[in-house]
Amino acid sequence: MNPVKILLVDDDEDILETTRVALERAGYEVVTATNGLEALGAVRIKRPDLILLDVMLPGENGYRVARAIREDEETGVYERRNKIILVTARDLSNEPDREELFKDFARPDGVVYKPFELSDLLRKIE
Amino acid sequence: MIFHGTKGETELTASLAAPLVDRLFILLRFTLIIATSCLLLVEVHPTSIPPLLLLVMALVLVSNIAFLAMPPERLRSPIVVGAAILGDTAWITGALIATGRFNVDFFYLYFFVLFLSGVGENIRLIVLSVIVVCLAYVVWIARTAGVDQVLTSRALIRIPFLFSVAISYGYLMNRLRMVRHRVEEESKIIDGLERSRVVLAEANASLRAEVEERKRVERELRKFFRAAEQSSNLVMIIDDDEKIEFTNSLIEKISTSSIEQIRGRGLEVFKEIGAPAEIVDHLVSTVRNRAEWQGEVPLHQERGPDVWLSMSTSPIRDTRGEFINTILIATDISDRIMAEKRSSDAIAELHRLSQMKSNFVSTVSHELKSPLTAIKNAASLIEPGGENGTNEKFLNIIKGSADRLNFIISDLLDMSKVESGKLTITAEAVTLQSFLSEITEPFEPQAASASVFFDLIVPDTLPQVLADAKRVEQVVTNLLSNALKATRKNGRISVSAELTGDRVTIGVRDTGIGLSVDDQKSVFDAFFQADNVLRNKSGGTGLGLTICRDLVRGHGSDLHLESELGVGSLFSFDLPVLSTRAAEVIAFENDVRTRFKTHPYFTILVIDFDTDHQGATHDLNAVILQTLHDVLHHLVPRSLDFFCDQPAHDRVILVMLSTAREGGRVVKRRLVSTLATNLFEVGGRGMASLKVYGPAAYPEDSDYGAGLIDCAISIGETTEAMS
Repeated sequence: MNPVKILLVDDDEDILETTRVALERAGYEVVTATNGLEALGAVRIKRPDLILLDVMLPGENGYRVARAIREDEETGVYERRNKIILVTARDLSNEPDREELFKDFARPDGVVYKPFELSDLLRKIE
Repeated sequence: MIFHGTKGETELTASLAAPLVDRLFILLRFTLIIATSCLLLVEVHPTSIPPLLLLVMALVLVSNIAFLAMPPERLRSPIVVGAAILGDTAWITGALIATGRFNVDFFYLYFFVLFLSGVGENIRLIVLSVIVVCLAYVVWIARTAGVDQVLTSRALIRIPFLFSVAISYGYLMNRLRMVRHRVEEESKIIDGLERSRVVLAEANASLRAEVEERKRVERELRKFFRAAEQSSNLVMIIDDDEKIEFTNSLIEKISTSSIEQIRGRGLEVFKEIGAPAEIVDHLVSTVRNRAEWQGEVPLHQERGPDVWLSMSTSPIRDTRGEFINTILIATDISDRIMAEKRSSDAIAELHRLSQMKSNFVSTVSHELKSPLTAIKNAASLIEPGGENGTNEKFLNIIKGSADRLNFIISDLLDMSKVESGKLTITAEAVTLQSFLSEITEPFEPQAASASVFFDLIVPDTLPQVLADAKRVEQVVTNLLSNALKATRKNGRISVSAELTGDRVTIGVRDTGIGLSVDDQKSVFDAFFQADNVLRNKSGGTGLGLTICRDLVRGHGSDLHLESELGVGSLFSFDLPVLSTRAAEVIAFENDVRTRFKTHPYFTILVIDFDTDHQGATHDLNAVILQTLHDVLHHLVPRSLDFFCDQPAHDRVILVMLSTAREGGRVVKRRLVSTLATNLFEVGGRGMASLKVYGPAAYPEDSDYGAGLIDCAISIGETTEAMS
């Protein structure tokens, strides 16, 4: 059986690097991207099972990237089922337009708050 | 018929008709006397006539002659006439009785004729009746004595007697009746005239009352118009035809038209004054429907802010409810609207600030949490006895992230210093050539690794400037780091310095993505970050430019930005050239510092409200700063508060210039009451009432900056001497 493939999206290279190492050590296959555009491309090509998506991305923010991934014609129905976990330093419950951000397919399957414990992250992924 | 005329006419009729009438009366009486005499003479033998009767007849004749001599008025009076009738009746009756001619049938006949005369309305009817009676008498004679005896009967003589009696009395009665009738007529006329006089008087009174009322109304109107004229509100009266019948002079304040031009026009005139067309149309239709309306109307002005009117119209009706006209009253509420707008602006600004603050908290927490996450991750990945290279990599990540945290926190601290006004500028002489190449040196490899060209353009001939080297370094480094973030591969970044007048302009130029016009406006706002795809992990807090601008302002300059989207940006600021005078002051300051090691701190406050001198005080700021540790100038309330909160000032030297104005006195009073320290003042023009300390005089305008330095030096020396 193939290992679970995880797409890691973050604009902070240090976080990307450390998280990647942690996930690989846990036995996952990891693909990385530093902005929304790269993330979308990676989804199309690599077909990850899970996406860890930073909210504060340069250019398009995480919400819009999540929506773009879910509504992408190219990836079709498959992607509507895949899992997205948002990673953020903000308290999402205080976002004024939370409902707007999360409507339709953009609703994430989970949220992880920075700074996170790697062990917590892994538990969430499980 | 006219009252006065009537009287005249009566007199006229009397004078003409009276003699004839009276003569007729007298003539008739003669006839009566003659007829009676004939009757007596025919029926009675003249000798058997008693002499007394003859005497009475003679008296009656004389009385009749006396009547001729009587004035007509008396003759016409009912008493005389009545007396004549009664007298005549009495003596004729007496004569008949005395002569024995008084038989019953004649008596009846006589009184019947008298009765007819008394009752008869008309003289003709009386005559007719008497003729009938006489004829009946003749018939009666013919029956009793035979037809042939009629003409010879002595009784026939009674006919002319009866006839004349009837005519005389009938005439007299008729006349009496006529006189009474005329009197009645006249009294009726008099009554009528009296009544009409009363009516006239009443009419006069009501007319007078009406005139009074009209005068009163006129007075009221005049009062109203004066009130309307001088009212501080716009008052208009719109007539039945929807035209402006009256307007007071306030219309001239809000429009260029004069009252005369406005009067007689429709309310559409408000469109020309700048009121919105739809409101005016609504107003016109309201007035047409005679309804009430109230609202606020903005008048757009070519120059300056809109004028706002609070307007109300209502129809005016008289006591019967009839429509008269419409009144329009408008009050200028621009001030209120302005105040409302200001307060709503202030609220919006507060809201914006609060939004910015929460954005800031959110951004800063993200910026802090990212390196923190990296540190935590890396720390948990370091394994004892793990691969050497891997552990070292994670350690480097931890170190780098810690540096980033430190960088962000320094930024925050700087920002908070700027915010609270505690940021201090310590100026010194700076040689730009060496200074700029020193501070840009570490930047060159960064630029090279990003494949960006870097140039430093500083002419060798540049004079020294007066600046806080550390702060200028901070500014230039920040600008360079921004430039690098914004510039793509093969772009170009340059730092330049050039002399313009007595200032040196330092510019940092890049060929990066540039800023849109909107972004240029807000780029200096705290926490601003352009939506920048090139932003890398050292994105920073968004405070950099705000801090830079405040640091540059501390040097008496400002941070300027020229930018074009896609072409690049140029940030520039300038620094004052170090003058010979300033160099002297530096020497003096060093001297003060060495000699007064125990009290090295002075504070000189330069307060000058003359805006022409602000450039010069900028210079002075730097100079005195160098000389006497700290100067606060441009004393705005915030910095004054800050200044007064400072705990220990060994010496405060207050240089007050042109403080004759109220503001200066207030500031001085405040300082004196707050600081238990020495205050020195340099007298300004028109300050004779203030005690002047120190030897310096107010500097001449032509040499203001240098003059101020002289002041500062002499004050410093005085202070030294005192301590």
